[in-house]
Amino acid sequence: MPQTSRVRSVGRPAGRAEGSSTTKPRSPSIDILKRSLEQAGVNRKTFVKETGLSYEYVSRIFNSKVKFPTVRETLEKFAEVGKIDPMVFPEYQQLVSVLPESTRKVWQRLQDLGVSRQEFANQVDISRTYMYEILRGDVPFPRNPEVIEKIAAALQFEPEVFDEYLAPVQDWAERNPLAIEHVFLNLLVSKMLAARGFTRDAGPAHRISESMLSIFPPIERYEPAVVAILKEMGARGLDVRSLASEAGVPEREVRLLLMGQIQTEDLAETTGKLARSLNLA
Amino acid sequence: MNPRPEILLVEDNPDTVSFLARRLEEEGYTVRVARDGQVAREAIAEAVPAAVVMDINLPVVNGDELAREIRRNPRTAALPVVFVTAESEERVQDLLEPGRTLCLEKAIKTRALLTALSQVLEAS
Repeated sequence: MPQTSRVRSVGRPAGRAEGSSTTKPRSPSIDILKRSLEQAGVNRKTFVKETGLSYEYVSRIFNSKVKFPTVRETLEKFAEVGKIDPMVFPEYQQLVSVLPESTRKVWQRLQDLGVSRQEFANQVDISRTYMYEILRGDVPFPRNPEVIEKIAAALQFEPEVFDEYLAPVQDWAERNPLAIEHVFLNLLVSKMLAARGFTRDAGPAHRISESMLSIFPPIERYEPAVVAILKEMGARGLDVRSLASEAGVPEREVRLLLMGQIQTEDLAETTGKLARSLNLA
Repeated sequence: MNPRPEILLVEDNPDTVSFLARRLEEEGYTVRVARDGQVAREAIAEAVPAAVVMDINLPVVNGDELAREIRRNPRTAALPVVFVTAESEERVQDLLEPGRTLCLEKAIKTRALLTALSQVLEAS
């Protein structure tokens, strides 16, 4: 059997014309909403007032004369008045299910903060049209870090909450694991300089745990020539990369010395260049 | 003695691995590398090397723990081990045996490492 004919038979059952008012199923959300309003002690008049909808339109919804709303804010308002989670409405579940994960987080946050789409779009300093496209899920969630930072700030979130923020770094890291490791080791050297008092005014970013610090030999075991380099680095606020660049030596060899892995005897040329670069010779 | 004895180098610092592996190869050794204790454990189970050069602080399984396993296993009990560590050798004091298990404190001189390797390999 041809593939197309099988798909058609599944998607549109025989004898059921799409869009026909006589066959339109009654949304289960009507009963969910009615029950929740009853339980919350909210009558129809109060519901109309709280939602800002017309009495006639609300009646038509409850009598299934019109399609149950599918607009996010309307559904959230219904849920708020009925003191229920909007996810109980199948229409809301449908809206959420097609959203990118990060857009879903934005929706949830807007609901938690009680902020409307319009208020949110006004707060974020990007094109309102684009913002609405994002919120509707018409476009993928942005990958531009600046845009994500703006969205996150308006939601009082850290931008890292959105996977797209770190995705470029993570993609790059997966392709270059060794390069990431080198950056990490350089950072550890900077942290060690701060922890051992070589760097002045080191901020919280330079704190290091005792267990992490134990990957470095005790400072007493460092050769005087390396201690002199560490002192001067700290005084000048240099990190491994900038020092290696200034001295014209490989970063890897600078790390071997500064991490107390290999003695200067094996890296005599590099040690000499570092000393000259720091005017220690 | 095998003309190119195989050394299992167990070290998690990528710079140290690359530096020591190159130096050992220049001295005529064949080098296998393991970046953590578990990988080293599996490498030894697969083929016992001529000697192990090993850091103590390692991911997954520490070097001292692995060395104790090596000593307990009759197949590897005599396997020479040279520790290279940023810590004090006191941590592995009970494991040290002249001619079989040595310890070099970092920062190391490769000359000292090569001497230590020669000693344990000759004794084995």
